[in-house]
Order: sequence, then structure tokens, then C-alpha cells
Amino acid sequence: MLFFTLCHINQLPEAHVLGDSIKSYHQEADFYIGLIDKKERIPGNFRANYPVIEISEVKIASFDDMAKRYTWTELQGNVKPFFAEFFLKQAEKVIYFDCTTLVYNPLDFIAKSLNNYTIIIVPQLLHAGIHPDEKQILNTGIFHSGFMAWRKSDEAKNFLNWWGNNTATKGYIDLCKGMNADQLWLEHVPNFYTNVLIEKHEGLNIGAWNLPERLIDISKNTVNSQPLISVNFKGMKYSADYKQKIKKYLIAQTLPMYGQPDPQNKKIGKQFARNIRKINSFIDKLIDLI
Amino acid sequence: MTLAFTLCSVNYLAQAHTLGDSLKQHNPHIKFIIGLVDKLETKDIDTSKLPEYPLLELDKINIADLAGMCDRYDITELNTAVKPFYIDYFLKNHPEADNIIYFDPDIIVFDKLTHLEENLEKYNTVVTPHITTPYNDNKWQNEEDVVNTGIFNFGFVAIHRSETAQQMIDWWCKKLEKECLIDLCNGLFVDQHWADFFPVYFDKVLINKHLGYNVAYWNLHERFCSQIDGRWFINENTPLQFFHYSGYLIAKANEVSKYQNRINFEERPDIVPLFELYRNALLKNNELYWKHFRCDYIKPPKIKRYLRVRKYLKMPLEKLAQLVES
Repeated sequence: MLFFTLCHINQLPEAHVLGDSIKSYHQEADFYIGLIDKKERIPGNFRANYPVIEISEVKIASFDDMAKRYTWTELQGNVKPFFAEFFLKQAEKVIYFDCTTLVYNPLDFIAKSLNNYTIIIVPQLLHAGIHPDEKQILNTGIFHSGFMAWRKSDEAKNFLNWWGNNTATKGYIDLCKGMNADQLWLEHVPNFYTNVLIEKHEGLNIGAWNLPERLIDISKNTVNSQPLISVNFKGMKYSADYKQKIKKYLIAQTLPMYGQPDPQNKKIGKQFARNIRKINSFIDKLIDLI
Repeated sequence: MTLAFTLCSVNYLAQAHTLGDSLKQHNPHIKFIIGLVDKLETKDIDTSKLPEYPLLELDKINIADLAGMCDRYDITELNTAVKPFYIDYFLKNHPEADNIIYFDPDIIVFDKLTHLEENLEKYNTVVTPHITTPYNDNKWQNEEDVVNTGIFNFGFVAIHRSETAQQMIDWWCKKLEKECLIDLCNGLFVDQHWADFFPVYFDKVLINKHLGYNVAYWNLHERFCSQIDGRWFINENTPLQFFHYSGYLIAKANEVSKYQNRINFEERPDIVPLFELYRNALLKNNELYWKHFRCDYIKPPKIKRYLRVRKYLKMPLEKLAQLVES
């Protein structure tokens, strides 16, 4: 079994913490870090404990265009199909986790499922009518690309080829057009391929998007009464415990060399503007009454 | 017992009539009802032209907030929003119906639906993907458009009476009461996009990849049609179950569909007879008569008065909004 994650240089500490958590349950398994950068740019005082595969080793035909086209965040998702294909050349079963993930239990059940399936994907939500804004999930993807697993097979290869073709050219975050980097393409996967498992384990890939529907019991390490498998801190405030773990692997800030800087978060301004416009639409309603 | 229904306004009665006839020809045991998103009494109708199938008007199925929905939605949104409300009505008022099938009115059935009815014994819900293979081209609509509007086509859905199906319908009704909008930037596309959740939220949902189902412009790239001994087949080995003439207009009979540019009759002579027979059936069922009726649920265009006053009253806050946004 081979595990891998993907990161920019700044996220090497997170990737290491993920590696440590995987190794504590799967000592024998391989863990690789796919780096969307050059190894020589890793600051000298940082000692990588896990093998790092830099992007140039994966040989993505259209990578130069992708680096110009995409932001750092988009690029990080869009190279995933190519890294997955790369690792499937060296292992029978490959599992991907976002680098912001921590593993809390063994993943043998995934390895077992891979005997019967070639592709495993995980939904963002599992329960109808609980998340306060389900349409936001429709907009960003029924499935979450922060966890995936594949078995070496023609089907997995076909899938990764198709996925990579799309992420190479249509991997923007542009929700109005039905694109969300690598993630929204996954909607098609159960329709296009035969041996696809939609893994509905309650404890897998816990994150900001599914917290409203998952009851976590720390004392028993369970989620909705099933074992807690993994937590993905992507887009969430890091917990104190998680921060502590990352601190062990200090690294000097290094900006990614590929991809465009991520746009600044304009969420708060937009929310404010929307509320101001609500007052204006009230003026419209008042005039309609005249 | 299996109950099938469609939804349309009076101007689409020729299509609904044609669907009903095709269903009856191959499946006389299936009861067919036309759900009418319209009112009959307001119109001067030649009743001899009405199809023989029961018509069930929208205001007769006890939707709690019908007035609110009519207010919120345009005619397309309203037409699609009421789908689960009709299913709910049938579940409650037709206890003899074990299976309920919805077809868009612009569908015709070509076969006995044995495959579907057998699957409804094993599954709670049957849905059909728009496509089961990639397009591999840059035409319209493409794979991201399908993602944006919903991976399953909701011109067809079938459910088997069960607790889970009822839960699914309840959830769907709740969503469609307020959020059956076309608002792609916010993840909304009428009833259809919501249904992407079905296989992850509910058990025993069959993603039915049988190539004879819901054949339409969006999947003709993977489906070749041919007639063998008077029967229609897909890729020469799969019996055509039903064809969906989405976006086809008699007035523009040389265009396959107004929603796409991938499929045309010149390159696809195999589908020409399928459209010819559809056109003839519509004409026979008085398409030219029905198409002129105006639906009672179409809202009159909103007239805004005092435009200049509005503009100046709103300007200071709009400027502020633009400022905080940038």
C-alpha cells in the first residue's frame, strides 16, 4: 500500500504531520510527498523525513501551460491525476490524502475495498437536510477530492487519463461555469466507470463541510458511532493540538515557484456589499407599493 | 401497479398526448396521468381535441405554499419545482401505485418497460446519467455544463414506494419549495441539480446506464440508432426504451435541439427517421392547435415605475457596496 500527498514548500510541515499519523498505523506502508516545486528550493535547515517527488519527475506534458494558467491552489489540485498515475506504477494500491489531513485509525478497510473496486471517492455530505446550506455543496462538488484511492487497473488508468485531460485545461475555480479545480470533475465518475465505490464511512475525511452532520465523540474517538478515520483541516482554523504537531517541523517561508498567487479573500467585503444591496432592494419594494 | 405521469401546460398537450399513446401502445397495464401546470376553465378549449388521459391540474394537489412558489418562480422553474409534489400526491392518493414513473412530455416510449419494472423491485429509485462516456470534444454542451446543471437527467425518474423513497421525496419537496431556481453561480439548476445528491444521501438508488434509456442530444455521441425488423436499437444490440426530444421544435424542424451544437441531422442520418415519426405524431395530436394557448401561471412582465427616483435613492448605498466589494 502506498500513501501520498501533494504540497507546496510551505506545507511540508503539514505533509510531515500527515506522514507521521499514517506511519503510526501503517509502519510498513510507503508514504510519499509530491512537491509542486523543485527539491533544491527547500530551505536548507529543513530535513525531509519522507521521500519527496518533485513535479518535474512526474513529467506532465502540459505542465508549463498549467503553471501559467492556474493559481497555487488550483495547481495543487490539478496535478493530482498525474501524481496518482505516477504512484500507481510502483504500487498495487494507492491512497491520497490532502496534506492538511490527520489520520486517527488504520485504513485497512480501504485496502480491502480496493480488492473489489478500482476507484474510491468520498462524498462531502452523507445525510439529507442537515447541512445549513446544501446548495453550496452542490456548487463545489458532491464528492470531496481530499481523499481518494485507486487500484492498479486499466479502469483507474482510463479514469486518471480523462481526469488529467480536464484538469490540465479546465481546472479553474469558476463555479459559475461548473469548474472547481480537480474536484467537480468527480461528479461524472460513478457514471463513467464501473467499479467505483462511493465510500460512505462516517469517520472518513471529516472537515468544515461535513461537521454539521457528524457528531464527534472525543472520548471514544467516534463519529456518528463509527470510528474516526481522518480529519482534514483544509479551510478550517487549525486546532491547538494540530498546531503543536506542525511546530515540530519549522520551515522558512518560501513562496511557490509555479502557479499564480492566490487571489485575496474577498468574502467579507462581498458579504457586506450583499447586505447593503438588501437595503436597496427594500427601497424598491417600498416604491412598488406607491 | 405502475403509474406514469408527465407535467406540462396546455400548450404542450400534443406532446403529452403523444407520450401517453406511445406508453399505452407498449405498456397497456401502466396508468398514465397528465399533470397540468395550467388551468382549463380559463380557456376556450375544443374538448374533442383533449387526450383521453386524466388531467390533474396543479391547484388540485394540495401544495401548501403554491401561491408563494408561483410568486418566486418563473414558468420553467415552477414546472420543474412541482415534480416531487406530484409524486408525493400520487404516493398519498393512489395507494395502488407501487411504482411511479415521471417522463418529460417530449419523450416517447418505444418498448415494453420490463427492464425498468424489474429494477423497481430491487431499487427505490432509478435515475439516468446524461452521459456514460466522455465527449472528447470542445462542443456545447460539454462535461462542465453537465456538472453545472446536474449529472442525471430529470426528464425521467422512477421510484418504488418505500420509506426511503418517501424520505427522498420529502427532502426534495423541501428544497424545491424555495430553491428551484436557475442560478448556476450559486449551485442551483431547477430540480435537476439537487438530485445529484440522491446516490449519496439515499439507499438503493440505481444509476441506470442502460443505453436505451433517455436517449437524447446529450448522449447521442455514444449511441447510434438503427431499426431492425421494425424495432429500434441502440448500437445495434440494446433495445431503445425511450427517446427524449429535448429542445426540438417543429417550427425549426432541421435542428435537433436548441440547447446544443454537437449533433446535427447531416452527420447523423440514423436519427432522422426518429424525428420524422415524432413530428408526424405531434401534428396528428394537434400540436398546431395547442401551441397557442397561454399558460395561466406565466407572470405578466413586471412594470417598474419611478425609475429615476429609484436610481437616485439607491445610488449612495450602491456606491458604498461597490467600494467594500473591491
